[in-house]
Parts: sequence; structure tokens; C-alpha cells
Amino acid sequence: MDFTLWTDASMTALQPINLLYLFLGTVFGLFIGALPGLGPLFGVSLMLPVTFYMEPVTAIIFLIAIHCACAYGDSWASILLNTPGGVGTVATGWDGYQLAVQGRSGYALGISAMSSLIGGLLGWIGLILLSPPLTKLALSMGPAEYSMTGLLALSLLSLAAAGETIKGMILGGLGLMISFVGQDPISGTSRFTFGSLYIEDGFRTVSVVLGLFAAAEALAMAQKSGKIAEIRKVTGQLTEGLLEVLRRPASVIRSGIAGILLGVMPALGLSTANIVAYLVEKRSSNEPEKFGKGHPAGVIAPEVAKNACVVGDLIPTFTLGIPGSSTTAILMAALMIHGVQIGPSMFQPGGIGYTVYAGVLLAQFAFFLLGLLSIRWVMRVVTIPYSILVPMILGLSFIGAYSDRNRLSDVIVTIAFGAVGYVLKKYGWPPACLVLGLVLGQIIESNFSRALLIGGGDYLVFLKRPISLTLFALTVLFLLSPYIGPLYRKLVTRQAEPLKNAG
Amino acid sequence: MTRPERFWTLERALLILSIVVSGYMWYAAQSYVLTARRFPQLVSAIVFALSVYLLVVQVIAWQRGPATDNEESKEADKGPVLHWGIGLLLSLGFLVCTYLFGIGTGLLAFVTLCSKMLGLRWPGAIIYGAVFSVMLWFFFGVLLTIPLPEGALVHLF
Repeated sequence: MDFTLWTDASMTALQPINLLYLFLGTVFGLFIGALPGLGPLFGVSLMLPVTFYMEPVTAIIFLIAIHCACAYGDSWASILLNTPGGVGTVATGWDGYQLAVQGRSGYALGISAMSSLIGGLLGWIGLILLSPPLTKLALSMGPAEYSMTGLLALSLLSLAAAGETIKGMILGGLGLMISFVGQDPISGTSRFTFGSLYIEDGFRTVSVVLGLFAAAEALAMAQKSGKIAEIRKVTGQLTEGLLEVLRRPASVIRSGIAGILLGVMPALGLSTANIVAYLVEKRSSNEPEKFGKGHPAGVIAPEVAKNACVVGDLIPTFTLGIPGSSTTAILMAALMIHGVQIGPSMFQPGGIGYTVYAGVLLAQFAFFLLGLLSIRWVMRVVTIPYSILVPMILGLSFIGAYSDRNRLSDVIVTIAFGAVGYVLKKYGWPPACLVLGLVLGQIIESNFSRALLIGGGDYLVFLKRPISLTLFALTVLFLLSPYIGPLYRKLVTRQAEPLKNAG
Repeated sequence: MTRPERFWTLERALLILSIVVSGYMWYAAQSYVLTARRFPQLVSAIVFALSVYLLVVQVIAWQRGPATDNEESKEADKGPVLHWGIGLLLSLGFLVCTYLFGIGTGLLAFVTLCSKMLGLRWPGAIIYGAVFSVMLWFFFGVLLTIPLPEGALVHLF
């Protein structure tokens, strides 16, 4: 480990401008997190255009601060309102809300704050320890492996799409298809543009993301009237909750490891980590019958895992250039917009890798301190009426899309994808798959084509290299896994039937 | 008495759009060089097949399934709401207004109308529209120095 690089990186991260944006990002993230249903994906998407005019390091620290604070603030809505603040806090509400009902919401919020901090710190340690070997692995990977890793990420996200694997696959494919519009990365041939100069460069990720996650969310909110919710008063000892976490090191370590491992898996994000950690904790507990009735470990486990996963998601993103989740796919897009080469070169002298890591560490303390100080005030955001919130989100999305290239045509794309996103949301399709397909499109396609060029056009090139073959086998296995189980059960029943009849 | 579910839902329209787009992409890719067409054709063929499969599954389920309530009528809120179609029309109106009169006017009109339709009274909606537009103009136009659209008509005067 090069300490000079670390010292320089820490000094850069601690520059006043970076600290200012760290503060602003954390405050914004806490507000967005406190709003039910609006998670890190929404917060990061909405603020992406604001970063165009920042230095790359400042931009990424700002977005990471939003990501971490949003993920933490999401738990407030789960605990106080029994409505998940985002997909990553579903399990938090199972015991957190029960504690709030018992008049111990302060205690539950204390647990959530300390667990999130420790989870984030464990994730950060994982980031530091796992980055060097993964960076080495990235250097040994060729085009075939890269394209297969991208496909594996897409298949994992489709699989995680809550029983909607086929819908996830269709959307992932459509995302890839959107990325094909414009120039071919190998030959430079202009494709699927209908001769229009506007789409010669392809669709802008910013416009698509703002439409799918911000405008679509606003259109869905516009179907409701009044305000989001009533505030539940924070009662009970916050400090007691903070100390409770320290009394349960086994739960913390178990959930932290689960969070990091799920974070490292490309495309598996917060929602999986939160629920898996809860179920693991329940299974290993001496009093599983108390889970769901306000057990402190039922809040500790999902919260530690969630924040460990938030940071763990950054490991494949920064080392392999494959996003750990849909939110980190947007972070990756932000880095690409700033011209930062993602992968091992980020950690060479002069790269921004270590500075970003220092920023990630600062973001953990920022959301913890600001969150504890501001919770009673920030939760008032849920009393904002929809008549104020909806035009605000739409207005910000439009001007954000415009500011990408100063073109109104980008706003048209945002509006169109807003309509598509609304339909997807209404029918339970996972739009994150589309974004991942779009962000990964060029990486997968360019490596796919390069691998075929190296292999002389033979598709077996993907099966001849051991890592590539393993990744391909895993992709197929993951995609078929929802169907293998029922098929096997059907076969077993069919075989057992004649025996039963004979008996 | 329940109202039967309609066959044509937005989801099925989306599936048909997916079939058309992937089919077109597969066909159009034939005219490109090998490196530019190989992967797009592979992906569009998979998306086409999956979309057709899902549509067929849905059609069969619809034919066999019992009649259900219309989802939209179930979700209807009693207070002032904005139908998503009207929201989209307002958004397109914002575009036209911004193109002709500049972003300040576009935002003012859009935010005011949108918040009025969602239940704010006229004075409140106008004040909110004005304050929000000025704030956005200040942040993006002045602080971030983004050249915001002034409107095509401004050059006529």
C-alpha cells in the first residue's frame, strides 16, 4: 500500500470545495431518503446534471454522498412510516416499525444510524482489501472475459427483479439496443440513426435516466393528492439504540460480510442485501420468534448489510468497470462523462481512485453526524404536498436534461422515457435493467466484437478461455435458475406418481 | 358488478413496441458491416423472441383468466390529481413555450399550471411558479453559467 498516494488523496478529498459538496450531497440525500419510495437511484439521477460543471473528484464525492445519505435516510421512512424509503429498506421496516409502534422510534433510529455507520465502515474496509486483487484480475482479463462479465451483471439484475426475470431480460436487451444507436465502437459505422444528426452520438444516459427515474416517479406521484404522510413523533432514547448495536458484534460482522459479498456481485444491490441479511440473522438467532415484533437484531442486520452493500457495490464498479448496482451504473456514467478511465488506471499515480475512496469514508461520517442532528427536521419533508413536489421534480428533470448539451431535444428524450418509465412502474417492470443495459452496452459490444476479431469470428472463443467459460456458464445458470427448480419438482412428481399408483 | 379487464393495456402496447423495435433493428442491421451488425442482431433476436413469448403467455392468460376490475378505477384518488397523459401534454407544452418564449416563461407556465391542477390555489400556484423559475434560473443560468434558452421569439424584437 502506497502511503504517499493515500496522504495526497486524503488531502485532496479534504479540500474545502469537496467538503462543501460532501455536506450539500449528504443533506440532499437525507431529504430524498426521507421521502417514501424515493431512493438513491432517484437522488443520484436528479443531481447528475448538476455535476457536469464540477471537477471529476468533486462530482463523484457529491454523488457518493447523495448515494450513502439516501440509503441511510431511506430507513427513516421505513421505521417511522412503515413505507420503505427505497428498495433497500424493505426488511428494516419489519422490526423497525414495530419498535416505533411500541413508542421506541428513537431507539430504532439510533440502531439504524449506528448500524449504517458500521456497515459503511465495514464496506469501506472491504473496498480497500478487495480492490487490489480485483484490479490485478482486471488486468488479466481480455475482451471475452469483459463481455461475459457485463452479460453476467445483466443476468444477475434480471434475476433480482423480483420474479420478473423475463421482463428484466427484455428491458436489459432494450437497454443494450438503445446503446447501439449511434456509432459502432469498432468500425465507427453510423447505425440506426435514420439520418438524424441528433442521435449520431447515441442517446444520452442522463436524459434517459432522468426520464426513467425522476420524471416517471413524478408522473406516478401526480396520481395522488394531498401530502405524502403525517409525521410520527420521535420518542425513546436515541443513544440507547446507538449502544445496542455495539453490544451485538456477531450480528454486525455476519451482516457486514453478507452485505460486502452481495455488493461485490455485479448488479446485485441493496434490496437483496437488506432482505438476505435479515433472513440470515433470523435463522442464526436464539429467539427467531421475536423477529417481526420489534427485535433490535431485526433492524441491525438489514441496516449493516445495506450500507456495507452501498460501499461494496463500488468495488466491481471501480476495479472491473462493471457496475455493482443500478445506482453505481449512474456513478459510472458520471465518471465517463468527466472523461475518467474506469478500471485499474484509476489507481495509478495521478488517478482519482484513492481520492474517491477517501471521499467514500468521509461520506459515512457525514451522513451519520448530519443524520443524527437533523432527523427531527428532515422528516418534515414528508408533509410537503404533491402539488409542490411534482412540478419541482419535473422542472428539475427538464432543466437537468437540457444542461447536458444545451439542447431541447434532450428534454424530448426525457419526456419520452418519463412516459415509458411510468408504464414500467405501473406494471412492475424493473427499469434499472434498462439503464444497466444502456450503460454496459458499449463495454459489452466493443469487447464482444474485439473477442470475435481475435478469435477469427469463431463464437467458441468465449468458451475456450477458462474465466470466460465460467462466467458464461454462471450467466446461463442464473438465467435458468428460476425455471430449473419447478421443472425438477415437476419431473420428480411425475416419476413418483406411477409408484404411488402401484403402491 | 365488475368491469372486465381490457385486452389493450399499456403493458401490452409496450410489448408490441418492443417486438416492432427489435424486429426492425434485426432487419436494419443486415445492411451494416459485420462488426457493426453481429451483436445488435444477436440481442434484437433475443429481445424479439422473449417479447413474443411474454405476449403469447399474457394473451393465453387473458383468454383463460376470470374478469377483473380495471386497475385505474381501483387506484383513483378522490382529491385533485393529474392524469399522467395530461402531465405529458403539459410537459410538451413546456417544450413549445420554452422554444418560443425562453425557459423562464416555460417553467413559470409549466409549474404554475401543474401545481394548480394538483390542488394549489391560483395565487399560490403563480407565486410558487415564479419563485421556482427564478431559483432554477439563478442556479443553472447564473451559478453554473449554462446558456439557458432565451426563446426563438426574443430575436424578433
